[in-house]
Formats: sequence, structure tokens, C-alpha cells
Amino acid sequence: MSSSSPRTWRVPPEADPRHRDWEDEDVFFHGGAGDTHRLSAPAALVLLCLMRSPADEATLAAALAEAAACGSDEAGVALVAILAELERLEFAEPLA
Amino acid sequence: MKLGELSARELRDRLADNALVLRTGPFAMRMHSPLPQVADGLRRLYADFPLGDGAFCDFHVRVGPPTGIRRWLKPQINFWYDGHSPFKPLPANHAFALLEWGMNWCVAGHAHHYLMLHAAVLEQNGRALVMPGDPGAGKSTLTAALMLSGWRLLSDEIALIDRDDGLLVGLGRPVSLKNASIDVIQQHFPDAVIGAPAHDTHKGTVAHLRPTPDSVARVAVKARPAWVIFPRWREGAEARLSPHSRAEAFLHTASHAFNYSLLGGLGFDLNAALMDACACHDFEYSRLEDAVRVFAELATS
Repeated sequence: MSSSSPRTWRVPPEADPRHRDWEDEDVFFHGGAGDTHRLSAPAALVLLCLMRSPADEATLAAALAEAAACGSDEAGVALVAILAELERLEFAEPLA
Repeated sequence: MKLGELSARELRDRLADNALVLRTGPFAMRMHSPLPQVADGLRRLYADFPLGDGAFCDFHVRVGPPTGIRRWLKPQINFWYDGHSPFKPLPANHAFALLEWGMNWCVAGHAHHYLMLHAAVLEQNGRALVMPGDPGAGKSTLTAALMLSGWRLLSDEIALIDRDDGLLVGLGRPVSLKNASIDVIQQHFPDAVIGAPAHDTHKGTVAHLRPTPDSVARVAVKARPAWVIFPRWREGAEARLSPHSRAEAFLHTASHAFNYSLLGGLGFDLNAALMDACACHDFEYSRLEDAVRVFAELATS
């Protein structure tokens, strides 16, 4: 994650995601694609943040750090991979 | 009127005249066949099923010899749905099995007012057991044994979930037994009524087990889901339930459903509601009597 160009992310409207969790395992449905995915707890946390409202990377990293009780640098590194995965699954996209 | 109240002659005539309407759960099927083995199979396995009045039929099906010169050279049969044949012709002695597969095809391909999972469903004490299972896992054998031990059969292959209330809807049709499970069930339950086997099908030898009268009589009674259980037969294994992740169960049932993707968000919501309502387990077993005992204990727990 580049600190010089923090981006804001959102859930694409066409994703229309749905979410359920059982015993700390999270399952999401992509309404546009019709695909179902089980996501890791950190990825689920980030996606649930984005489902509430668009958020910038600093906010997401802070939420991740708080939930995982880790440092912001460590959370930032993890966030890069999480956002890449969510973008690949079309659950998240950077705002222009 | 029940099918079993027709004489053998009346049944053959109705079938040949396209005048037999069979009710299987929520569906009415108009059946047409000139083949004696189809009439014999229906008489043996569907005697308790009600006949419809024919005012409306969900499916119009026919099993008979294909047209053309080939019928004279190599006796075969085919299945038609509304005049359309979705399958390749099969040997003539597969006629009844083909009818069963065709009936499954009709429901699985068209009844999208339900979420349809590939799973068996049984009920006891008002609580339903949903059993998905990979081929060879022993699902049908266990389903047959439980039904013959007092559980009410809702379905052997297709779990129908009502989109309005999330309850399970019964079909009550015969259980498809394959290969060794035919003898296993016959040995454990000598009074079980099993139809003529079809040998050398793409599933090996297949024979169908008549549903219990209670399963047919109460087919319209929907059942509340209570358990999702993944059975697995393993030689020498002690009968044992163990926890199964509900998220994993969700993904399994979704990926093996007939129309989960087609229903979109509704399919997700219905399958999620199923998981909310159920305890999920793996179940490993080798001895059928032990399996029946474990499930009896489960039903009274």
C-alpha cells in the first residue's frame, strides 16, 4: 500500500453482495456474478466495512489492525493482498 | 384413487392411451408408454400413489421405442418430455430406470419455484434430515435403511425447499439403489419391495425401492429442516457423527444444487436459512444397523 496515494475503495453496485457467517466462517454471494465465496476473516472484515460505505485504505488498515491487534504497517501489507483479492472477485474497486 | 386400485389391464391401457396421471408430491405427471415393463414397475413401486384427474399436468412424459428403422434392428427405448427427447436411446430393459431418471430430469430442470439441492431428505418427529452425498458415499443405501426403519422419505435425490417458508417439500418417490446396495437392503429388510433390476446402466445395476406407505400418504406434509448430514460408508468404520462446518456445508450444497445459481440471491438466502436451521455433521459408518441406531438416537435427542 502506498502511503503517498491512498485510495478509496467501494463495492461495485452490480456486486450487490450478501453475507452470512457461521462459527466465524464467512460466506459471501456476488449478486451480479451469481458466485459464492468463503473469505478469510480479515478479507471478510474489509468487505463488510466496504459494504457499509466506501472507505479509504488508511481507514481499512486501521480497522484491520484493531481487529487483529497488530501494527498498522503489518495491517497495511495484509490489506494490499486483501484488496487485490476482493478486486479480483469483483467485490471491491477503487474509486476514480 | 390410487394407482394400485387399477387392474393390471387398466393400468396398461391407461399408459398406452396417454391417460395415466400420477401425482408425486406437488407434481402431476401424465405418462404414456406401450411397454409392459413400465406398467409392471409402476404397479410394483407406485401402487400407493394417488392418480390425478388430468385437469392440469406439470409434465407430459413418454417412454417407448424410438422411431425409425433402428427399432427393428436393435430394440431400444427412449424418453420424451413434451415431445422432446433429452436423452440418448437406451437398451429396452432399462425402460423403468429411464422413466425414473426422466422424472428426476423433469423436476430438476423445471421446478424453479423451489430451491433444489442434490440430497436425500427424510423426516422423523417433525424434523427433517437433509443428506447430500457424493456418488459412492452410501447415501441411497442409508436413505433406504432409514426409511425402512421408520423415517418418512421425502426424497432420495432432490431436496425441494419451499421459497416461501424454507420448509422441505416431499416427492416420496422410490429410492434408487445401485449395485451392492440392492442386496444389502434386501438382506437387511427382507420385506422391502424392490423393482426389477436394470443391469449395465451407466450407474451399473440399478433397482428402485418402493417407498413406505407412510412416506406416500404424508407426502404433502412439509418438514422443518433440522440436520444436514454428509454420510460416508467406509469398511470397518464405527458409526460416528462428527461436526461439519456450516460454511463448508453451505458451499457443498450450493455447488451440488440443481438451480442455486439460477435463483440468484434467493438461492443464497434459502440455502443460508437451511444452514441456520440445521446442525451439520459428517457421518461415517460401515454397519447399517449401527447407522440406523445412531439416527434413531439423533431423532429423539
